[in-house]
Amino acid sequence: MKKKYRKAMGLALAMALAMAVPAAAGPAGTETAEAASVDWVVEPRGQYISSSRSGITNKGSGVIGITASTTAHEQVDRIDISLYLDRLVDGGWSQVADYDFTFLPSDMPNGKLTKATLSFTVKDQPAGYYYRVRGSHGVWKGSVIETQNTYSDGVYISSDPVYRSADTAE
Amino acid sequence: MEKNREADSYQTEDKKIELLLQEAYGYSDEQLLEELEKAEAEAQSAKMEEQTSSLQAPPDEFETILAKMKERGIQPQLEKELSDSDPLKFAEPDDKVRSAETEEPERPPEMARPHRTSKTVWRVLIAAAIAGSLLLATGIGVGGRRALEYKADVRDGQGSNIAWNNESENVMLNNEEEAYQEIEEKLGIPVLKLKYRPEGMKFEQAVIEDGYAVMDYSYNEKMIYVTQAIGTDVNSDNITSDRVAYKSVYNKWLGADIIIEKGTEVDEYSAAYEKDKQYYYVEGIMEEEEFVNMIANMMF
Repeated sequence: MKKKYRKAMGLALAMALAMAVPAAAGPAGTETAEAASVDWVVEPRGQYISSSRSGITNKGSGVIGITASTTAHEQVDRIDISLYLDRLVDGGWSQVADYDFTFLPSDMPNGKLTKATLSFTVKDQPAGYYYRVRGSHGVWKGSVIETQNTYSDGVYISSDPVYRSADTAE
Repeated sequence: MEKNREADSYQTEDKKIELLLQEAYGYSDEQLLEELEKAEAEAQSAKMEEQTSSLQAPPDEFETILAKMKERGIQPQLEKELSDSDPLKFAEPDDKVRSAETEEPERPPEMARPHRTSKTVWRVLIAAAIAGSLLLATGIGVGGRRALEYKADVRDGQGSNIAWNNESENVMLNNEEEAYQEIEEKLGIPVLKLKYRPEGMKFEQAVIEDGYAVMDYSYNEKMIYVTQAIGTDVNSDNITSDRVAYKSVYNKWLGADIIIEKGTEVDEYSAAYEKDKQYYYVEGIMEEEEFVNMIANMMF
């Protein structure tokens, strides 16, 4: 049930991000039939989501630091952050990894979900390239989903431990 | 009903303390109580012995008194009893009395059974001593002001191998002043502080991630956030919101004009300030005048 619910939510979020216009998530096959009974109103912006942020850092020695956050004006039911790591190859960006994060009130120490913050490092990507991170951020409140997108600039990930400047990538 | 609840509460408390004592010293509750009673009895016995020995009559005192009574024609009741009842009953009164004095005296009625109050007090004292020694031994501080941050439900995607920062860096704080200190220490940047704030706005918590921190405030049932982030030439951050540039406000403490952004859908505001690549961002819903005052008066 939970898995199906999450898939339905993911689909709704993906639709919102793709179209960026108000829409209603409809049935999406038998697998999402249970969640399809809820009429989700997807808004690309609105009254609950405040801001979204994503960032990428060259940590040195081939380590990529990734951060992201989403803030809401009040308590919400759920916050999702999907992050996509792109590598610059032959002048074009190619997605090499993706990460999904779901935050629920039960994950919070005080049981109140008003924002989501995260940071982690990636160590399995080859150094010597420019990387960027894209973020899809969604906030759930009642039957409303509000979304935002973020894009970082490209940052050169060096193999040596010394930071290098990465002014331009795109 | 209330008494029953109270009695149940006492029993639960007693059981917990009993378990703690057993774990700490390897004694059961009964053993500890027995030890206590034995010690009390010995003390009482010693005290009584001391008192009776100081009041003890000379060995021939009894005979002297009887002789004086005979001289005065007084018939002692003791002799009558000795003559017409069991001759062995008071055969050696002095010895019997002395024997009783030297044996363990019978405890007073209130000491003959375990006394709830003294037992509880005894347990509490021992438990307090144990707790105190544990605190001293382990160095546990007061409070628990910080806690490791939540960990979201994460699904690893293609080719991902991530390491979370919530083991050491990701810290949640519930005290504003401590949050300022901790952010400055962990991020290594000057912390921007909100000096003016509207009545009713209060600090909720702060979370420190790798390279940035978010401080939460509540005001009129809405949230206000202050983000403080490290800026370097090897990172790239992007913040997105629905707000657009609205007006400029001069902050005399920072000596800078700060652009205030306003929401297109609701009366929400935000303001960004950058200095030496550090990035500060304030956002939330409140009256425009209050938000402007807040931005105009924030300082390091």
